[in-house]
Amino acid sequence: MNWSPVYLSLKIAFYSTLITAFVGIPLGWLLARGRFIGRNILSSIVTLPMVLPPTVLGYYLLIMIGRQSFIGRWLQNTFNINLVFTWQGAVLAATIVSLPLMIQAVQSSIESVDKNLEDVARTLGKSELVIFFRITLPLAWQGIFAGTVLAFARAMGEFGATLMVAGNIPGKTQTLSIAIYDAVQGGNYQQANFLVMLISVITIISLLLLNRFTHIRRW
Amino acid sequence: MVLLKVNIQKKFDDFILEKAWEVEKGEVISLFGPSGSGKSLTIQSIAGLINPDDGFIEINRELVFHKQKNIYCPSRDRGVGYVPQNYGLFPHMKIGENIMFAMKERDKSVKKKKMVELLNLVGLENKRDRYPHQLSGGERQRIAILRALAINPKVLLLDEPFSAVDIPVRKMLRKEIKKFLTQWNIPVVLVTHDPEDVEMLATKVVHYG
Repeated sequence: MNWSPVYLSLKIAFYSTLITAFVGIPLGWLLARGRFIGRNILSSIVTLPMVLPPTVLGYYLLIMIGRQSFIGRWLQNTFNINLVFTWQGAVLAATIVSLPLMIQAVQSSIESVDKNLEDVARTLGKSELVIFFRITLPLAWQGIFAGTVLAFARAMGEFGATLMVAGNIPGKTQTLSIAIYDAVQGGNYQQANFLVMLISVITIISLLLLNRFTHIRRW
Repeated sequence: MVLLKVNIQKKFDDFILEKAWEVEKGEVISLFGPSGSGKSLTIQSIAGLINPDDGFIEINRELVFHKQKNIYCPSRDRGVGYVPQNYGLFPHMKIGENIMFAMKERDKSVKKKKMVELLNLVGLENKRDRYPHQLSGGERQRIAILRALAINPKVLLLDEPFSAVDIPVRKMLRKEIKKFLTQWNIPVVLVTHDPEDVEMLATKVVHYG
């Protein structure tokens, strides 16, 4: 059995979830609590990856970060980084695709926190940062955790955008989903069965853990 | 000595709220009137949670809001104790933690000592490790007031403090709160629609609606 697609997918999902959390939590908070011009536009833009077909997203990304593009050339010339056909490119693709799930989960869980509590904390002399970390985040963590798990699962299963940006290079950018497709195309059903079983088990365990953790309540 | 001066205007779809009143040290002013008459809005303006359309608010002779002079002091710098209608206790913090959260001291042992002293005032020291949902309505109300007082506020704002308490318990609570507020000797603004609250607690009444 070839395990490399499994490791690769886990690695890509791990990094993309990390980035998704760092970007998604502040953005979700901004959309839930911020009142600013362009809020609707921002909300639409961050939801876009959920509606667009992943291959279309992948194509956009390819055009944006490809060697002929402005960003691609800048990355190449300044940092000597090329994202196309690399696992880092796959991380980028997975991040873009899973970000809306994270943002929506964070937004709705922060919106469900009673604003009164944040107001009271303000009158108690607390800064917005303290209020976010001591009041809002602890009260919204279950939704945020659920968003993280979903984002991880989405990144694990990413196919279309990843294929566009990172290609299908065995051992380098061939992720779990792509390896399954590749195995079936090549008639290697033993490998396909193995990978399909594996991803099913991982997904079921994640969902079981998710259910268990989101039903814990201390208060 | 006048410690709180309010002169505010706010436009709504169907009416204009226009109120001017002041409170002296140790006075309990009651904003009395039906719901929707702008009482809560007034104390939220004093707390700095919303801004009136015009006018000014002065706490301890210091302007915290003045439309014309463009003064908007943020909530956290006003030093105002605010108890909302549902008490606003943090559900994920124990009673003791709720009170200590309000304190400015850095030393945890100092905070703890002060917290125990405060809880002893209302005889709830034994409940400090409980969560708010494990307390009765009356107990939650007293904790919320204690937490507001833990910042040594210049003014205490109470929004319908008895509305979430059963009627038979209210009488007893009013007595207790009255005794308690006399000790503190700061201006208190009490929002209520219940004439009994006014009769028992207020030294001054402003009619709304």
